[in-house]
Amino acid sequence: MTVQADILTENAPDMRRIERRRALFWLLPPILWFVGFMLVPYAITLFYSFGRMDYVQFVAGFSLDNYVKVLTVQPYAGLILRSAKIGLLTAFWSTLLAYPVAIAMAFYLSSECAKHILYILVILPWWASYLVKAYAWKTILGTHGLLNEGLIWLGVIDEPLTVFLYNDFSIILTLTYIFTPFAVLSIYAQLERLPLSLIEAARDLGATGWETFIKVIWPISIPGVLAGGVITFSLGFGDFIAPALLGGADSIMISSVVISLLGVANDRPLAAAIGVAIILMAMALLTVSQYLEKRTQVRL
Amino acid sequence: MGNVKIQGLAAGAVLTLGVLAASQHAAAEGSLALLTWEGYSDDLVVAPFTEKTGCVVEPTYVSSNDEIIAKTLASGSATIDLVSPSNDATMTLIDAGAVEPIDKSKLPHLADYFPVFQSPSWLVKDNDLYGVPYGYGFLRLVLDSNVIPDAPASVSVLWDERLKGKLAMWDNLETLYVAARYIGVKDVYNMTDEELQKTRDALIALKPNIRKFWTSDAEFQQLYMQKEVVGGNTTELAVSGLWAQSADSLKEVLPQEGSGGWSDSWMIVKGASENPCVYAWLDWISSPESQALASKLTGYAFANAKSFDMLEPEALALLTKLGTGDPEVQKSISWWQPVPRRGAYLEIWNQVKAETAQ
Amino acid sequence: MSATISLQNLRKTFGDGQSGHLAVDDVSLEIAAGQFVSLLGSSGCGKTTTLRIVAGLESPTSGRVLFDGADITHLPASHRDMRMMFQDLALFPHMSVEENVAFGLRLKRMRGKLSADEIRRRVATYLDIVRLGEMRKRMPHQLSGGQRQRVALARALATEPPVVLFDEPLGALDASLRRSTQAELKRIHRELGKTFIYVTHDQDEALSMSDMVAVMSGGRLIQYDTPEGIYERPRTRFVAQFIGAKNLISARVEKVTGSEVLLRLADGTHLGAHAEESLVPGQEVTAVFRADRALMQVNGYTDASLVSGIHVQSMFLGNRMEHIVRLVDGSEVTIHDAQARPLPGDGGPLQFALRPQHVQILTK
Ligand SMILES: Nc1ncnc2c1ncn2[C@@H]1O[C@H](COP(=O)(O)OP(=O)(O)O)[C@@H](O)[C@H]1O
Ligand SMILES: [Mg+2]
Repeated sequence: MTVQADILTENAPDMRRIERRRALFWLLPPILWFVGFMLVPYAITLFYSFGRMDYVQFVAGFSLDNYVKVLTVQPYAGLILRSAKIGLLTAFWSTLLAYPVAIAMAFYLSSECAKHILYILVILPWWASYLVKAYAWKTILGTHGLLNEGLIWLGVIDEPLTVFLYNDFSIILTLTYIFTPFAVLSIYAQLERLPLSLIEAARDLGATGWETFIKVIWPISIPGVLAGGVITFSLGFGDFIAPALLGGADSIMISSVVISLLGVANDRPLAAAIGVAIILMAMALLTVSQYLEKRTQVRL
Repeated sequence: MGNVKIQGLAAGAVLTLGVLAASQHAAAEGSLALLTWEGYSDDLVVAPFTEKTGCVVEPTYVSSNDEIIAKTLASGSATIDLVSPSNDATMTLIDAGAVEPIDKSKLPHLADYFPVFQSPSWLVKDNDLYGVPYGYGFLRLVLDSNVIPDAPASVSVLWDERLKGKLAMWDNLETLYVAARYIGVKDVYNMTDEELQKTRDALIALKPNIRKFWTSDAEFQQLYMQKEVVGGNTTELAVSGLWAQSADSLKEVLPQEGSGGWSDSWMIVKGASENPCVYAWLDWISSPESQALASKLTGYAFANAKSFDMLEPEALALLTKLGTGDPEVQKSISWWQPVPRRGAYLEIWNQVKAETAQ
Repeated sequence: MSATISLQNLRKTFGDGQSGHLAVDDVSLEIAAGQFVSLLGSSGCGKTTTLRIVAGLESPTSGRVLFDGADITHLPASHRDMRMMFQDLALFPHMSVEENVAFGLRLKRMRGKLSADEIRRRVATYLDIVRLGEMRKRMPHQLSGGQRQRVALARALATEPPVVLFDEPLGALDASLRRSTQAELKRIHRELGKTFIYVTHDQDEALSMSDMVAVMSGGRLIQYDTPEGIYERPRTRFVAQFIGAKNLISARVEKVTGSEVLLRLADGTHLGAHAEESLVPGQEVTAVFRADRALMQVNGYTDASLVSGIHVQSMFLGNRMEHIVRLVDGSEVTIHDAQARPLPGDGGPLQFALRPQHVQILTK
């Protein structure tokens, strides 16, 4: 007894103090990250959005003029919607392309080696820069690009077509190409959780391949589809490189406008207001998709 | 001046760097802080200067005139000695009192400058000259003469139906000015709402002809070489580059409505003239020798007429073909001015781009 | 409704050619309609693979599967009239208990055969059979392990297949739950009269539940017999050891009369035994007997042989006494005495008697 009492009086380590220190150790980096990379920039953006420019100088204030402008003056609200449309189409096509790949990776490649190779093939394009990939599409889709040359060689067309490049088609195609891996990985991550025996059970109970897909695979994969959809939508929505490189005369998107507001007009407050509007939209979108993901997520 | 502080706050990182730079600046005798475009402080031009004067050049690169304005207003001569804005930004700095007048007596080379750069409107206030003109150029209108053999000397040719889907236009307010000149606006840098609306309509009418808005010289050259477009408005560098790639049928159209012109000038940040290196630099960069070097480096023309005499024969031939060194042509140019209503201009410009072409 | 299943020379190799692994090696098996048949063997012996071949989830490298005489070797699983209860149960996690059970009833194959009302009634019936009526609205993750097991069973039964396959369905249950579920399965088998094929590595489970037991080892079928047959007459050393018969005696064949064999032990005494295969005199064999078949009362039998040895040690096990006896050749055997009589001290000579039908000659 006395021995133990001695130990307690000498600087014995206190469990509670250790726990507290440990908690601080793990919490500090995320808190710093959150404050430094999210809270502060968002607060600055919000602050700017309520002010106005006087010639080249910013005047702080509290005015909703910029928001009114975003909502009522063309082209801002229209371009936010247009960008959302491009984002949605990107998400749609990415998901459509990604789904079979994810299925193949999850269920039809029995050998780990083949799975690994496909995985590398999927993420390989990420090793090349975005610009290189966008330029590659230019050389494919151009008036004298590979596609036109090929079609002429095949005798499908006599004159090169200009409809492949410098329009929304080429933007969505490029965005889809670049962002599909995100969809593949998030759908795959979800499908991978699905035990093969569920598919066998469905087949065993008499389900056709289609019924197995509709009744078992699809419902379980929805959270992955949603997650991939949110990622590809967001990336497509906010993109400004594809419209600049592969877009046509009408292919402007909201990010390009924000850039021009900062670079040409030096209208930081209006740019900030657009930013805040988009952040709010993104928060609403994420809330809805998180809710749906939760609703559809299954405990396996 | 609370606003300035706020701007400084937002550029917090820049400010911190600035303080660092300032302390260095104070320590090293004979150093010169430039806020400029990357091409303007190349070793080719800077090394002879440092050798001659012992002044060490510390450049900070910028990517837009707004950046120059913002940083100059925020930190002043504490961290910057000289800036090199373009003619659509110079008056902003002059009006803000952020730069000081030039003492012409210290710069003998100014006498050799082209007349148009002797006392350009964008640098003169109350009879004081506030900057030393440097590189300059005109915007060009070019078309493939095989497609339009009979091009009139007017921007109206852009609206020609034969050019449907065949033009590349600059993604810049200059293209808005082109349309404004087309509809006969007198002062394209100070348009009324009505004029802006008309300009907008003219641009929307032009859209079916536009295949692509370009953003760099290289892009325009590529668009042309890959036969995506047959012409548009572009820069001298793009035109000379294309000609060098034997795009012989590409011909310049000299529009009677005029073309935009840009001109960069070195300006002294208020209070910086105490630094002896400042006038040494201005003297050096206004000399024909240094400008010939800079021209070789950048491909631009420079304001000292004598610098043309020191160019290599091919470079001179090209600039002559382009009419860049012709004082008469220089006078006809619609030199860029600051646009007080830039926000409204940009809004119209973005509306045009958002409009779906028919 | 039930059906016969016949497996003919089934062979399954995983991987290819030389490096391939032979998981099922020439298995032939006749399963009569309505029987409860267990595939018994230690882990990795090919039970699951065999069952999956029957279900159509795996195709054999060679051999045939017959269903009521019809060759179904290449029929897809979805078209076979049998349902499987999976080792991991494979309940659909996004469906309630009810929806899981109704799954097979709502498929296209069943369309037109069952009205919505009938489906509901059928689901209710089978949930009652497995005593889960209360739980029908729950999701699988809201159930206990035993309840999940019963959902899987109800799901397999609901489409009323003539054949039901089980892959170690009780593996995850604790001992008492396991025992009650075994009883329940047996009851359901009796009530529904379907053919059950049941994979297990637990010999007690196999012996207590089945009509027939197929013991497998290394992909091969070692012995296919009734539980009593397996228990009393293990044919190989492997089967003997697997079902817990440890008493092995080396001997030489002296005389063969039909299935009656007279053995000569190392000490020169004779032992009457039983053999399935034909033996020739002079052959060296191993005989096995179960500890509880040894008779301590050595007098008064006309048909029993006497075995002599040295008593090594005894253990009192409540309902019986266990004695370890060393035979002349040095091997030790265990015998049980149900009357739990104490022996007069260690180290003394000991005799017990064995009837020929309880001494089985092993072929391998
Ligand atoms: N899909 C497979 N690929 C390769 N080997 C397999 C596969 N399935 C089973 N095996 C191998 O076949 C043998 C028999 O497996 P299994 O039938 O599952 O045994 P049991 O069910 O009796 O434990 C094992 O050695 C196992 O490793
Ligand atoms: Mg198994």
